[in-house]
Amino acid sequence: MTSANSSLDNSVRTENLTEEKRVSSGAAGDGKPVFARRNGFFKEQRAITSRRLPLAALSILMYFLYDIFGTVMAIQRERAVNDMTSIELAVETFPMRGAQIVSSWMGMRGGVGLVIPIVGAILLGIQGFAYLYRSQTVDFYESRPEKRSTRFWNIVVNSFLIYAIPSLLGVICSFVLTLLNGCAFGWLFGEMLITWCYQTILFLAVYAMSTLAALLTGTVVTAFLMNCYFFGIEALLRLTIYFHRSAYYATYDDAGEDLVVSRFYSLPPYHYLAGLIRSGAFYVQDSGYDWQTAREAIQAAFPGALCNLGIFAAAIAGAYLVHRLRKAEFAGKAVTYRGLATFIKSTATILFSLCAGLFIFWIFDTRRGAELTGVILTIIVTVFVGCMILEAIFGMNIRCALKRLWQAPILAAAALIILFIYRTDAFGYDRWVPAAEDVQTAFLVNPMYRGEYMDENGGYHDVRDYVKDNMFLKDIEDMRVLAEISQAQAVKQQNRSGADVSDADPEIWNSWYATIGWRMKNGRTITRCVQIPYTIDPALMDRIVGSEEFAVGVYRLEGVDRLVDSWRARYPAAAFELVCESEHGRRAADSKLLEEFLAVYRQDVTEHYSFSTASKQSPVGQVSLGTRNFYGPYTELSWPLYEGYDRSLAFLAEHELWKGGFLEPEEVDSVNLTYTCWGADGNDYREKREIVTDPAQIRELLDASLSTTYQSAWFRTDIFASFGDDEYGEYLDIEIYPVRDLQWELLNLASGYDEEESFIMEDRELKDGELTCYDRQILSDKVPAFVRDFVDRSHAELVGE
Amino acid sequence: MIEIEHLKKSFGDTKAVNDVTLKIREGEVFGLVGTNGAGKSTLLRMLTGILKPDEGQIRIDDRPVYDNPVVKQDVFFISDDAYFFPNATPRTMRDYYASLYPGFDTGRFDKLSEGFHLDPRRRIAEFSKGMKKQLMVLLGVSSDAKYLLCDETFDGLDPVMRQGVKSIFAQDMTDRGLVPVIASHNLRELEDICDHVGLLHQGGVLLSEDLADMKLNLQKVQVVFAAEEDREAATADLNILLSEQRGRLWTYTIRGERSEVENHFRNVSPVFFEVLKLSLEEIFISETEVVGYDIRKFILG
Repeated sequence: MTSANSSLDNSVRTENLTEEKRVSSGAAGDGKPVFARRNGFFKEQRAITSRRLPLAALSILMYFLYDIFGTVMAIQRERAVNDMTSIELAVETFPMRGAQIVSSWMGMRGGVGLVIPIVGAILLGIQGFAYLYRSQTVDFYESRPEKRSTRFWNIVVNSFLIYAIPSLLGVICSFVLTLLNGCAFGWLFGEMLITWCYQTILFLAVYAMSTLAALLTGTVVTAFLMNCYFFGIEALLRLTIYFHRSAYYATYDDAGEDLVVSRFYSLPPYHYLAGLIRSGAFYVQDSGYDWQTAREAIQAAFPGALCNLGIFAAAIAGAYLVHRLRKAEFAGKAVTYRGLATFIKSTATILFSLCAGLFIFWIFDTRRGAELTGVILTIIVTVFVGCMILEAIFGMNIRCALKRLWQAPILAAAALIILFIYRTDAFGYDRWVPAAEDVQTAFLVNPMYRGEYMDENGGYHDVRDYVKDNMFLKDIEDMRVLAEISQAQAVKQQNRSGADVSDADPEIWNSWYATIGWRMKNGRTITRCVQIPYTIDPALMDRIVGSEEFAVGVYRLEGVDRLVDSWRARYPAAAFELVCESEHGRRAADSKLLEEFLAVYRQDVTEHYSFSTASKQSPVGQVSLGTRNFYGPYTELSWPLYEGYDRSLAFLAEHELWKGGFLEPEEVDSVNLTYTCWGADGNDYREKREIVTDPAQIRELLDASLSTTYQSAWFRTDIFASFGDDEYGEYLDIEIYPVRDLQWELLNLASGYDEEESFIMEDRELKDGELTCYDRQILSDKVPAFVRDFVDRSHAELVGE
Repeated sequence: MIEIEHLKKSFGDTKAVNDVTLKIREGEVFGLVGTNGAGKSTLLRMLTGILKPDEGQIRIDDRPVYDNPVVKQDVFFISDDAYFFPNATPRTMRDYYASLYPGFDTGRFDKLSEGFHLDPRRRIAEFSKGMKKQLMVLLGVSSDAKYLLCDETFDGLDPVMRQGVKSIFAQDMTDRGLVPVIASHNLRELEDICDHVGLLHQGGVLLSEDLADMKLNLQKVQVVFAAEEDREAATADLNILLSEQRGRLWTYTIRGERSEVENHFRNVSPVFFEVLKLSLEEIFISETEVVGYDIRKFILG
C-alpha cells in the first residue's frame, strides 16, 4: 500500500471528520464520555448485569429460597404445630404466632439472614473487578472510551443493585405471603424493612472491603485470601491479645471480655453481630408487638449500623483511590504492592505464631514455667512455615517459598519479644493500681452474691453488670490497699498454678475471687480480677463491705416497685410475690409489701452488715421476689437475712412471713450422714449412709455445723471440716430432716394445697421423695467424735482398708 | 497525529520501552517492527491508554490519551489476544462496541461480516484464531475510530483475508482518514502495507523512517570488475553500507540516489553492472548493520 495519496489533503479531511463526529455525539465540550449520554444509566446497568448473570441469578435464587420459600415453610410449620394441638387454639393464636415465627426468620433475630449479604458482598466485590486480573480483559476494558472512575462506580452501583433488588423484593414477597396467611401485622413489616436496611448497610460495608481487597490483589485466589485477611486479622489480633492477657496476666478480667458484644470492633460483620446480639425482636413472646421493645431493638443495632456505614464510606473511598492508582500491569500479580505483601506477612505470621504457641501451651496443659521451650519452638516453626507459605502465595509459585527467608528470623524475634512482654508483664499490668486522684469511684464484685439480675425489659445481666451500674465506693484509699494486696495474691497464685499441689502453701490458695473496678475521671472503667486472701485485714474489709455504697451496689434496695410494675405490665398473667424463706418454710405475700420491707431492710444492712458478719455467719433465711402463674423470664432478686437484722425479722413476723430461722434441735427428726468415695479399684463410686436420731447427737451436730442453704458470699471454705480429698470425691453430706408436723407444714407451703386436701393427705405416710431436708456443713474445729468415727468406719469399709 | 516523546515504561527491573520518541502522521500506515519483547505491545498499550507511561508523554491529536474517553473514541485497539464476552456472538460484540463508539456503523459491520463469511449468530468461542482476528478488524474499521492499533493482527490471517483487510484499510484511509498502526515481529508482513516503519529493539527505537525515502536512498548494485584495482578505484568514493562477493560478482548496498549510482558505475566502466530493487528486509539489514546490529538474528522470520 502506498501513501502517495495521503499526506496533507487527507489529514485535513480526517481532522474535519473527527470534529464532526465529536460535535454530533455531544462530547466535544464537557469531556464527559459520549456513551453516558447515549446509553443512560439503566441501559449501562443492564449491559453490566448481562455480563454478571450468574451472580445476579444466584442472588435471586438465594433470596427466593430464604425469603419466599423460607417464609412459606416457617408459616406452614407453625400451622402444622397448631393443627396438632387444638383447632380452637390454632385459630385464636395462629396469626400472632405466625407473625412471630416470620419475625424470627426475617426480622432482627434472623441471624442466618446475614450470611447471604456477607457472602454475596464478597463474591460481588471480587467478581466485579476480576477483569483486572488478566491482561486480556484489562486490555479490553481499559482500552474502552470510558473514564476509569465511571467504570468503577458503574460496577459498584451494579453490585448494589444485584443485591438490593432481589433482597428487597424478597422482603416484600415474604410479607405478602404472611399477609395471605393471615399473619401480617404492621410491626412485622416495619421490622422486616428495618432488618433489610441494617443488612443492606452490612452488605455495603463488606462489599466495600471486599472491593478494596480485590483491587489490592491480582488474582482471584489472592483476592479471597485478602478478604480472609481483612475480615480475620482484627479477630486474630484481638484473640492474640485476649489469649495472652488471659494466659499471662494474673489479674486480667477475662470475664469482662465479650469478643463480639462488648468490644468496639472496626470490621463490618462484628458490628452487625454486635447489633444483632444487643437488639431483640420487635415483639415480646406471647404478648405481641411492643413499641418500647421495637425502639430498643432499633437503637441497639443502630451504633453498629452507623459504624458499618462509616466503614463503607472509608473502604469505598480507599477502593476508588486504589482503582485510580492501580496499574494495568498488576494483572496476575498476587499482591499489587510489595510493601503491602510484607505488611500482611509480618502481621499474619506474628499473630498466628503467637496463637499457635499458646495453643500448644493449652493443648498439652503445660505447667507454667515448663511451657516456655514448647511455646518458643512453636512460634519459631510457625513463623518460618508461615513466611514460606505466604511467599509461595505472593509469588504464585511454590519455588518462591524460600524467597526473603531472611525476614523470618526477624519476625520470629518480634513474636518472641511480644511473648516475653506478656510473660514477664513488662508493662506492669498486674502491678497497676491507679492513683487515688485519678479515680472517681470504685466497685468490688464478689460473684458469690448472686447469679444474675433481670432488668425492666426482661434482659438478664450478670451480677457484675449490676454492681458495675450500682456500686459507687468512694473510699478509694481502702480500695487501693485492697487492690495491692489482692493483685499480689493473684500473681502469687498464678505463679504457683500447675505446681504440685502437695508442694503448695495453703495460704496461697485460700482466697476469695473478686473483681475490682475503677471508674476513672477520664471516663474509662478499668477492671482487675483479684484474689483477696483470707488473711486480709478484717477492719479494711469491714470498711469496704460494711459501707452503705457496697450494700446498695449488691442488693437492689431501690426502685423495685418500678421494676415490678414494668414486669407486671409486660406479663399481665404473672403474680408477683414477696417470698420469705428459711428452714421453717417458704411463705409469700403480695409484692407490694416489698418496698416497705426494703426500707426496713436497708437500715439493717447499713447497721449490721459487714465483712465480719458475712464471713462468720450464714444467713438465717432470705427474702426474694417470686412469681406465680408465670412462664416468662426467670427472676432472681433476693435479700439475705442475718441474725442481727431485728427490724427486718420483726417486720416479716408481723406479716406472718417469718416463723423462725435455723431449725432448733427439738424440731429435727433425724440427720442423714452420707459418706461418699471411690472404691478400692477406683472404678466404683460408693456411699455409706447413717441416720442419726439420738437427740443429743442431733444437738451436737447442729451446734457444730453451719447451714449452706443461704451461703454467705464471704464464707471461708477453710472453716469447714474436710473429710478426705475432695478432688477424689471423698466428702460427707449432712441432711437435716425436720419433725413430721413441720414436714407436713413445709409440704403444704411448698405445694400450695388447701387445708382440706392436706387433711386428706395426712392420713397416709409421707414418702421419701416428699420429705424436705436442709444441708449443713461441719465446722473444722467442732467435728463431733461420732461423725469422725462414722467417716473412718465408712472409708475403711468402702475402700476396703 | 500521534506524538510520542521520550516515552519510558518499566515492569520491575525490565525496561519494556526506553526513551522512545516517534511521530505517527495521518495518511500513512505505520509499521512497528521488533522482536518478541522489543516493546511493541507495550507501546501500543500505552498508545491505547491501557498502560500509563512512567515517563514521557503521548499526545493523540494534541491531547493525552490516558483515562481520556474522548480521545479513546478515536482509537481502536486490536489486541494480539482479543477478549470477547463469554458466549458472545459477533452481533453481541457489534452491539457492545456500537454502544461505546458513537460513529460505529452497524450496517457496514454486517456487510463486511457477510463478505468475510463470519456468521453473526455463531458463538465466537467456536471461531478459529484467524476468524477472531478478522472479527476484531471488522469491529475496528466499523467503529469509525481514526486510529486503528493492530498488535500482530496479520499473523493469523490467510493471504486472501490479509489482502481483503489491506483493501479495507486502503479504502478507509481514503474515505475517512484511517491511520493504521501495525505492530509485527515479521518484516515481510509489513513490507507491502506500511508507509513508515519504526524498528524497536530492547525497548528503544533503532530507526524510524518512511519506506519510500529508505528505498530512494539505498541502492543495491551487482557489479563485475575487470580487475581488483578497478574495483578499489570504483568503490572508493561510494557510501557502501554492505558488500558481498561471490566469485567475481560483487553485490553492494550503497547509500545514494539511483541516478547518481548508475552514473558512477557507467563512468568507471565495469564488465557488468545492474541496479536491483531492494526488499524491506534488505533495507533493514543494511540500516541496522550500520549501527552495529545484525538484524537477521532477531527480526527475520
